[in-house]
Amino acid sequence: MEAVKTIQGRSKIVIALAGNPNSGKTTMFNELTGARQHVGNWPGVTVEKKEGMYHYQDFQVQVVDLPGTYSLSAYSEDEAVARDYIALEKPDVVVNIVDAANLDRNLYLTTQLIEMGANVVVALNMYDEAQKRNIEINIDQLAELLGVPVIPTISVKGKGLQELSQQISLSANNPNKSRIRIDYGKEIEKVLGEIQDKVSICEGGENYDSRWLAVKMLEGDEGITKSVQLPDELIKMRNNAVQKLEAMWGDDIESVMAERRYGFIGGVTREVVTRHRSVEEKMSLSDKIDGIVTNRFLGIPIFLAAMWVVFQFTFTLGDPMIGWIEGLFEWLGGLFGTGLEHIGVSEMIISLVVDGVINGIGSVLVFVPNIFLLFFAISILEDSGYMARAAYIMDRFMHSLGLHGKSFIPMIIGFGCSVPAIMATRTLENKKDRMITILIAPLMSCSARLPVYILFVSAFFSANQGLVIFSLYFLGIVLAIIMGVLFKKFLFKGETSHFVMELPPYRIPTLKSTIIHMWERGSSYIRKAGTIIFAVVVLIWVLSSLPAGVEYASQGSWLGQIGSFMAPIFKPAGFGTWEASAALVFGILAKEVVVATLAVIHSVGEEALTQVIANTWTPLAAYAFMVMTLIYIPCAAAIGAIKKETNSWGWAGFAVLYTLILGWLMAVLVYQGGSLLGL
Amino acid sequence: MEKAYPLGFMQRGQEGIIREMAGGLKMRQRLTEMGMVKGSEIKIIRNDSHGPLIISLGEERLAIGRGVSHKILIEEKK
Repeated sequence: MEAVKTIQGRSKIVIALAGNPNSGKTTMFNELTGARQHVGNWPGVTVEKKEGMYHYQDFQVQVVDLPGTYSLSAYSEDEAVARDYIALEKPDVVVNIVDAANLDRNLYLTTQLIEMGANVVVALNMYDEAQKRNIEINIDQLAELLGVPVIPTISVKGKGLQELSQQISLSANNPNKSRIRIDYGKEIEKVLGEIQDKVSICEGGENYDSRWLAVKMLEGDEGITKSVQLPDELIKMRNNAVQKLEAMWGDDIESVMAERRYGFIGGVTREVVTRHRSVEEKMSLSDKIDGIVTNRFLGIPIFLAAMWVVFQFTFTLGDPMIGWIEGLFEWLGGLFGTGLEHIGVSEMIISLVVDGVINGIGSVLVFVPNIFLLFFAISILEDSGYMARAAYIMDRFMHSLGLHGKSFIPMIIGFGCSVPAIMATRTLENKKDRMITILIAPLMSCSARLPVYILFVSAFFSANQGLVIFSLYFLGIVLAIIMGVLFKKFLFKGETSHFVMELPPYRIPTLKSTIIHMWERGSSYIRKAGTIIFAVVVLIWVLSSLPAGVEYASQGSWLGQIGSFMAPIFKPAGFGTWEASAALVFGILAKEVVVATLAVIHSVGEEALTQVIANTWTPLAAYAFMVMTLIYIPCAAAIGAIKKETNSWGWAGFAVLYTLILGWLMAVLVYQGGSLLGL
Repeated sequence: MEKAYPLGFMQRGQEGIIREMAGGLKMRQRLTEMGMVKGSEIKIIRNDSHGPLIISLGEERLAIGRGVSHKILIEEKK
């Protein structure tokens, strides 16, 4: 692709980052592009697309971060996206991030990139890890054997970036012409040659490298048939040849070709890698830790202990911060209140600003410390490698329920906020497992529900606050498990996908990467506050103030009327008042708003609200209400996330419906059951 | 060739070479991506009789589900 000039006379080039998951690719992307990033979606699929930009000398480089993949088959969405981008968009350079400590497996992708004819530059990353394990790599020889430039890097420390940027620019201007060829053996090479001649003249074939096309076709790659028109006689020829070969070997063609690929890779690594081993085979530190952490008796207790530490960390550090933020918003409210009054702004507007916006948004942002702390802790667990072990430990338990071990990581995230939890289900390859996890994730009590619990708990259960709140979290988990089993049994029948998971070596997470991950997840919460909740708060204010002349947020206002209309439905659950119903209705949009709505309706601030609640509700009704809040409907942001991840309003609608019904049933059950027991 | 038997039956600490991978295409695909092909050398790190196994493959550790482990045939390395 010719270098295009920007207005400032810079050459514009486009590069793509490809590599295994866990190879440090994301860190590399962040290091290269800094804050100049943009996240979107690849069209037509649910795979995330990350783009960014950086300047180097007189180059303006656009960076596309491809999904982390182990190979470029057409089997998974991630791989198809990566492959199509490289083949059809033809970036100037493909930077392949390779984990130096795991050369064999990482090179599997590298060889495929080279076979595709991409202009590859290898970033030999995590070089320090390899050195720690006494692995030495002859970089020059590696570059020679692969036929591509190889630059050693340590992305978490920012090392090697200059040299990498330099090589990227060099390669963009001087694309790699020579290409190494993997020798697939006499018989296969013969057939490849025959196919190659015929395939390049096919319709659609001119976009791709002809040898790569021949290789894919011989392998039986499904994606090829979608992009290239293969004439019937060519297909027949291929099938005949494959039949003969498979009969000869007693083995299928894909396996044989994969073996030959690994044979090539093995040859390369044998040449370039030197392992210095001590005389006795020592078990590495990672294994020693694993010995304890994955022990069949200690594993689950250790995991529970870890979770307890996470929650303690989140709440003990977070609660004082909540106090500060509350104080901040009170002060803001006072400031704006008196300030606006001074200027002579109308009472209505003052009410909108102070009672509505500041109060409403304040009630949401108050939980920012908790959320960020939770995600900080989860990031540490993930980056250190412990989460993978946790998935391994939980898999036994999950498997007995018919679920997948990896499902439980999104569920843990769900304790913070359902939105990043739903997005985290992407790590599940099996669509069925993924769907089930997405549907039950909202049952994990997210932090938005906490203000509701706290309100009622301080009004009625002040002696046992921790216990009652814990009972709700526990109920959520139990329901999630039950619904998961039910969904598996009746809606998503079929085998659980194969559990094959990499256990990365334990690492000490860097502060920088932990903060970046924490921010990625937490920022979706702040964005939610800024947009949806802001809109809802204004909406509530509007509905409370109309029809004109009505007393603010009284039963006569539209807010009140909506509440009154819905109230009878909740009578059997003990909270059939218009106030409660109105709060629930608006809670659909954002759970945090339940408290805000109640505060608005009773025209009081938050502390006073506790008193009001204590006077107008009963403890049993309060508990039933909390149960309802726990279960009913994922919030608007979560519904949006479900739609986005499943690409279907149908499933989002189903999630809404089933949680509504389940919530109502459980609340009624609690109230009626409790009344019978005389509580 | 020495007798090969399923990965699931190997003991902790044993080393072996992958001889066969039975099972569907997708499963083999997944295993291949993770670096497991015929001829790969593996070592058992952990095998309790329930739940996934942990094996080492080169410098890596992999967790392999029990169902999958019954479909991978290993020849023990003496």
